[in-house]
Amino acid sequence: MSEKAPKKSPFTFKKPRKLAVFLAAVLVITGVMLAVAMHLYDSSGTASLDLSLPSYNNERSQIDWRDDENADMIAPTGELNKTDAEEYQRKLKTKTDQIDQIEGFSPASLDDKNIGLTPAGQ
Amino acid sequence: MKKRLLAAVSTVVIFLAFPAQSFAVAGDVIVANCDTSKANLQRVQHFDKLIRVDIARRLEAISSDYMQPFASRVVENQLDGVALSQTVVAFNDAQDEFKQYYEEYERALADAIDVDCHQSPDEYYQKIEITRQKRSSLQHSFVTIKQLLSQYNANLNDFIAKEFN
Repeated sequence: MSEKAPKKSPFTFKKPRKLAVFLAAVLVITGVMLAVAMHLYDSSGTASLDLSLPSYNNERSQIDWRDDENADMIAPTGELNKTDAEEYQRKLKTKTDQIDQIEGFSPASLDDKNIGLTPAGQ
Repeated sequence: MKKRLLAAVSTVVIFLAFPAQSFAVAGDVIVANCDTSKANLQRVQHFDKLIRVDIARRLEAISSDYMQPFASRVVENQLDGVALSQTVVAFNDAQDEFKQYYEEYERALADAIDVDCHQSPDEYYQKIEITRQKRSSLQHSFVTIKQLLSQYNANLNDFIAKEFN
């Protein structure tokens, strides 16, 4: 009665050198993929808006997140009558009014005077 | 003689075609206020980032929590929401444009902050001018978004009047 030879695992290395080459290849591939991911993260503009970075602790605390927690979603299915539509209109108006109140990116912020590029005494 | 004349004419032509850039602020004023202006630019950068994130999440909520579910309800109930849908498409495009303009502006501002204004005051001011142009485009883009939201509200009024009265 012949004993069955144990099945060989593809990750069994006869020589320690092969294991080292395998590990080095894994590290290189990981490094390349990480570099590509970081490049995409930076070039897509995500990095400049990523408030989860530790250096933005202060900025993060200045944003009022209560609206997100109290999100009052509209159901995507169901009957739609006049009352529903008017209710939707009322809720949406609250949100759009908030956007209207934001005075974003006024050119005046970069005026010579506002950034301090005026001769002393002016 | 001809060569000298040709060289002189060429110099005049080049001078007229590419006049030396004149800046609204003198180089010595920039150098004197270099650190202050940089600190101010960094302050602007800080607040813009906050505003940008705040605007982005509010717009995203309007789109995903309100407009999209409502559009589904309109379709499910076989109502005429063509005008509303067209405004939603324009609103989504405007959001993409706004995002692109912000990235361009953010890069321009970062470039300006990176210039050594003690060593290269003219370059520094040039970068600030570019940043101003980008900021102006960004502001217009944000105004367009506000107008589209106002248009959506008007479309919604018409929709309710037409479908339920």
